[in-house]
Amino acid sequence: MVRKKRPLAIRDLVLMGLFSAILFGVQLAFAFLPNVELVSLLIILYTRHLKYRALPVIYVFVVLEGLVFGFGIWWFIYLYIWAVLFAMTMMMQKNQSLLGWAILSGGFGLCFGALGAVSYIFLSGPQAAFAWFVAGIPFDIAHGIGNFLACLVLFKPLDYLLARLEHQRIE
Amino acid sequence: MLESGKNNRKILIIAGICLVVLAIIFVAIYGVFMPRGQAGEKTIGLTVVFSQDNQKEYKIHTDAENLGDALKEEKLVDGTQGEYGLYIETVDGVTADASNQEWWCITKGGETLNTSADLTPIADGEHYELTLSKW
Repeated sequence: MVRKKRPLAIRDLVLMGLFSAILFGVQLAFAFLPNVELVSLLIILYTRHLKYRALPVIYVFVVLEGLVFGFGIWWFIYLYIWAVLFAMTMMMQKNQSLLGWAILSGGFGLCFGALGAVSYIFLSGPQAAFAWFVAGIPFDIAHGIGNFLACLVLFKPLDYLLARLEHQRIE
Repeated sequence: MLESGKNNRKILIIAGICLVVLAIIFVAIYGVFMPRGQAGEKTIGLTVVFSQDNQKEYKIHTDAENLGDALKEEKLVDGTQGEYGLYIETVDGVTADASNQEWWCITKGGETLNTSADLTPIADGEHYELTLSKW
């Protein structure tokens, strides 16, 4: 059976706006806890369920971040870093293992600084990029562990919620 | 079916091992290249630039090994703890107004730093500037 691609309905647009707002709210809510964030987990889940429609959700979140916190160097990192997680998730669409998603989320947290350092190569040179990466390694390790555990605990219930929403949307 | 399940488990085990190995490599890189502050007593200079015609000079005597700790010891800064250490919001009682796109920019001898105050090692005789800037 071939399922026809449906055009974006108003309900989809509202949901996508809501998902961006949730991303932003969750980011703010956990800002006081260093290295603990749920943005990675939510982006994995959104990509799993919305596929390419997750991209506008991610970029609305990125623009919101810039508007509220300013368009500093970190913002340019945000322009590509979440897209990397999106691409990795798209490549793992067939994965059904919770551990697989936790490894992806943990690995992304661990490599966050290394990925961010790429932009410093162009902005400040390779030496400055390396210094920035090295200084952030303890935070990256904590970020990776935090992401891994958050995914193990929260992936299944949130995945179930999004599957129910998706089911309602199709109906 | 059974074969595919075995393959998936194999891939997961390999991915898990790669993740742990990568973490160990990162720890090793940090051990070799981590920024080290100078131990013992030292004196650093600090210029706080509130505006073009309003600046204050400080001499800070400290045992701290990074700029963040030295500034906190002197109760010169306040802010929120972020992913990369203290995000400075207030310097010497003056708070950057984020709604007005203001922030405190840290420079060392006029050159922008790529690290937060907590991740900036200090040595005797260095000079830093904290400038109320706009993005």
